[in-house]
Amino acid sequence: MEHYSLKINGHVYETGAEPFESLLDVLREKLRLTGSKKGCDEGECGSCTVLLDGKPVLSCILMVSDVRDREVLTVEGLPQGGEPHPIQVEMTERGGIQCGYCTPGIIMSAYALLQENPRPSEDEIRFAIAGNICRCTGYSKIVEALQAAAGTPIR
Amino acid sequence: MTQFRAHPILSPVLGLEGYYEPASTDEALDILRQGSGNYKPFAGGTDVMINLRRRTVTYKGLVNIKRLPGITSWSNKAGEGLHIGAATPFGDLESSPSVTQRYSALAESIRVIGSVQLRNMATIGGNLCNASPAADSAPALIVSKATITFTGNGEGTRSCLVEQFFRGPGRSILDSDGLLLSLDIPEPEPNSGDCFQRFTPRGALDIGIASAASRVTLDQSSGRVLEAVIALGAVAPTPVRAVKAEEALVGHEPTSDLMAQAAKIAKEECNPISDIRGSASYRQALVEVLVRRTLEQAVERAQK
Repeated sequence: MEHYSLKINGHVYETGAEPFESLLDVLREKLRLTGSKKGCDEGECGSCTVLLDGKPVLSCILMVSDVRDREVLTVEGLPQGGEPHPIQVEMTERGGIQCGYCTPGIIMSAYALLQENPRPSEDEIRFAIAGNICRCTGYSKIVEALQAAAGTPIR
Repeated sequence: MTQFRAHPILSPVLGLEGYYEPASTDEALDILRQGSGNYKPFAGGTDVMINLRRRTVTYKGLVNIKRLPGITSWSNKAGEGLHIGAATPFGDLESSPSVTQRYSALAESIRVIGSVQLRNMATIGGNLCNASPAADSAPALIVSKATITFTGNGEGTRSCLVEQFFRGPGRSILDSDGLLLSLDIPEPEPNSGDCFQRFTPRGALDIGIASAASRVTLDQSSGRVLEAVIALGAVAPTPVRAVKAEEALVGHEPTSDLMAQAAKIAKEECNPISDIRGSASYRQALVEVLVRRTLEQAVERAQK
């Protein structure tokens, strides 16, 4: 039986996981990286979004055997030098968070977008977070927060 | 065998006994045959993982095909078109200008599949092998005259049109030891254009109630329709062509009236079911609208 070591937020973790455990379960239950949330656990809601080699994926339906030799970035990996990432700051200050459950997933989708496209239009922002369901905010405050983080005009 | 990994104790939750990562196609076929119908090829996992957890399927083993040579990559060669490994994630194709600029219908169908995150996992071959009548990429691939290359089924490697691949809901021509290897999409002909549209209540994360793809090739001198291909999704047990509607267009000038008439023929030609997403008559009404709109858009693109 093989145990997987995974590279997460720049650190290598020996997980003791079986190949078919979901990355999300390994992150939350084995590594206690509980920033990534379990919403639907079937790839619909986006609250488990993490980046795999820089691209957003759904960690709840991603098995750990497909993660080895690759790099995972979770919301815990965003702050630099103890300071929250600008996306985290704007989401907090502009009412992009209410219950907070979708927030880490939204932040990771937004981070992936801004890495590829630093000044996205409102349509591009909405397209990028279409896979993240939020029941509280109605999305407007989230879009405004992401526009602020990107430094683009808020409508 | 190289790179052969078998895990004797596997997640009891999923009911699996074996997990394999073959490094060659021959090895993959050997493993699938050993499973005698109980092993499932595994690529993006966005359907297989969920079906296993919901217990709507049971497999004794999974064969992860993503380490087979070339199966997760694709290329675009001038004069040849797109060659796409079956386990290429949609996200890799979606972000490439060589797809979005020349293969409009395909690009439009990819953009509506699931979500950004899902498309970074879900593969083009998986979308076909899952054989949903509503598979978003299928109508676009059919009108693009895409061919697939597969192996197994007790025979060697061979190819067929995507149109010939489906047998019914969840069923394709592949047996349990068959393996889809790649897709080839020819370069669009000169003076041709195509378009895909689907209808869903939500803008993302939804399954189409009906979808249509149209492709039109015009005669350069007369501007008349040389060839028309129309494919429909979610209105039959498999994605289907609307052959009578196509025939109504060929040889004529592509006027709005003619396209509206062809759309009406497509509506009568299809025979959908009623289900939780929509009634049969609603689906037929959607087909008329979607065929008319995709034809108009395809003709406009062909005239550019």
